[in-house]
Amino acid sequence: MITKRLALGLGVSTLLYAGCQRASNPVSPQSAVVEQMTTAWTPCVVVHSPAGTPFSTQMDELRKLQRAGKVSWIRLNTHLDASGLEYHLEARRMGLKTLSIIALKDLESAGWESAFDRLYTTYPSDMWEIADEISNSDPNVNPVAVTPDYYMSKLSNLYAYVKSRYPGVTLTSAPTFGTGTSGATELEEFFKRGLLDMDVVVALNVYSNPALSSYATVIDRYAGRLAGKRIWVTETGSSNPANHIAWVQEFYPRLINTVHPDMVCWYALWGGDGGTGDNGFGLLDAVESGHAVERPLFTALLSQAR
Amino acid sequence: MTRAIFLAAVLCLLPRYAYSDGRINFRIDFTHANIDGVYNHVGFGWQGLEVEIEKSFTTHKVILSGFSLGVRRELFYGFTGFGEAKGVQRWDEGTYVTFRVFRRFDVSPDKSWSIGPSVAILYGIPGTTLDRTIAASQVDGRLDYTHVFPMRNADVPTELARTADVATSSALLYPEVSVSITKRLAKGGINLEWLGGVRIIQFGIVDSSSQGDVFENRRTFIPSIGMRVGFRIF
Repeated sequence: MITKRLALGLGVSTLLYAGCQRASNPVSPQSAVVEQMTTAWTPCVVVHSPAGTPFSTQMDELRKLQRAGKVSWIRLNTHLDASGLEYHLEARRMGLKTLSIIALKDLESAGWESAFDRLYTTYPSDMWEIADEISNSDPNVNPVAVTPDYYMSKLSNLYAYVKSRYPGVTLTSAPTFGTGTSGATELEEFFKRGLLDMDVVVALNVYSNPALSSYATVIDRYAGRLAGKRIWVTETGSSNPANHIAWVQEFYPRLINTVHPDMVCWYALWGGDGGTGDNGFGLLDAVESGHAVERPLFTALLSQAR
Repeated sequence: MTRAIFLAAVLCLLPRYAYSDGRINFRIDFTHANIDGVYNHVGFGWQGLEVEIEKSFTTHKVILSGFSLGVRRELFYGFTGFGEAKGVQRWDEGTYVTFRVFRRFDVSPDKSWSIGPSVAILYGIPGTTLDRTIAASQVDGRLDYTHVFPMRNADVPTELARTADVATSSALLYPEVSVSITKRLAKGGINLEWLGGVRIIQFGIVDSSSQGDVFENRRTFIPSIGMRVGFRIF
């Protein structure tokens, strides 16, 4: 009888201990969701730059985010025909920093060094991302995908050129593919081909749990050499507006925990209007109407102004 | 070769002629690690749930009282499917298969209490469950951080990795040594077991700050306590 009571007592003690452990776990969802809200947000947003109404509408909305302390960097496209320049100039006037992305098609058509010269003199920018996802076969991203081997040979030459001609310029490598595990493989290929020997920011796009998990494998394997390197997640986000806040609450902390990036950029401020034109990632909708609809994450960010 | 030795060991342990107990065990445990970096120390805890099939020999085989094979899930917060019901759990984040051998010594006349050691090998994919970062942004936008992570030291079979969409080199293999006190109830139909153990995991530790960057990997002994409940099934 005594032994049964003792056994029962030990069992209850264990369960009570379990309860205490669970309650005090710093990453338990109950505490994490309530306390974090959007505190994991980092102040960077990808901005598409079509001319016309979207320009003024997006910049007006960016001012709101800026006043709330929720944006200090924006990522913008650049083009050899100088389109979208107004975004760069306005961002500079507003005191926002810009990460300018040079399209692979521009690098290939004008020659890498020549394209950089032309774009550098056209667009004011604080950091230059040399190409978008190089393996992305979406024609809107790359007319032609290239291999890591080809990319790294070109980047290596461009890096040497920029360092000698524009010593103050900060370059960012092409972001690796954001879904599935191919991005991690690509990142490792970049590392093997000398990316860590260059003083550049390492860029990743991360859109899924498998991608994050596989990035962890590579980042941890190269942890020693990555120490002191800057990592930027230049795109992350959810295509379901109803999940935007949850993405910041749940995925951002995991991303920061695993990748320890200097910055995480939300894709995107606006991803098109209505029907098939809206990719769902946008913090805003109906931008072309001139009266943007602010989606829940945008509203939550404003409501938690710093 | 390793696989062949492992299978041979299991076959040798099979108690073909012994009157043995077969049980299904459920285990819950709590593990806490404090890992010291140069600039920061990182403390984190996690919980695990295990289901295992255990074979206890009536007569000891060599020095063993039995062995078990099981599956372990480490509880991992953060997968709520981002507001959706689907995808709440991912098997490749903190899932392990386990193989354990144990020895029990009876400590009461009626053999209702026993005590003994066990050694387990865990093989699985930690995913991001054991990665931890303490970080602070500097005024120049750079990040000072201390990042700790398990040194993944095993491969996932290629076909499985492709099917599951994980990297082939993402697996972790490590031992756990534990001691347990067992109480047999209902004439041995139910076993209650209290256990304390040590997980031996190689961790990588990176400190990166304006003071310098330091990297080391260190074998870490991580205490764990828990409870196992077993029901005789054959």
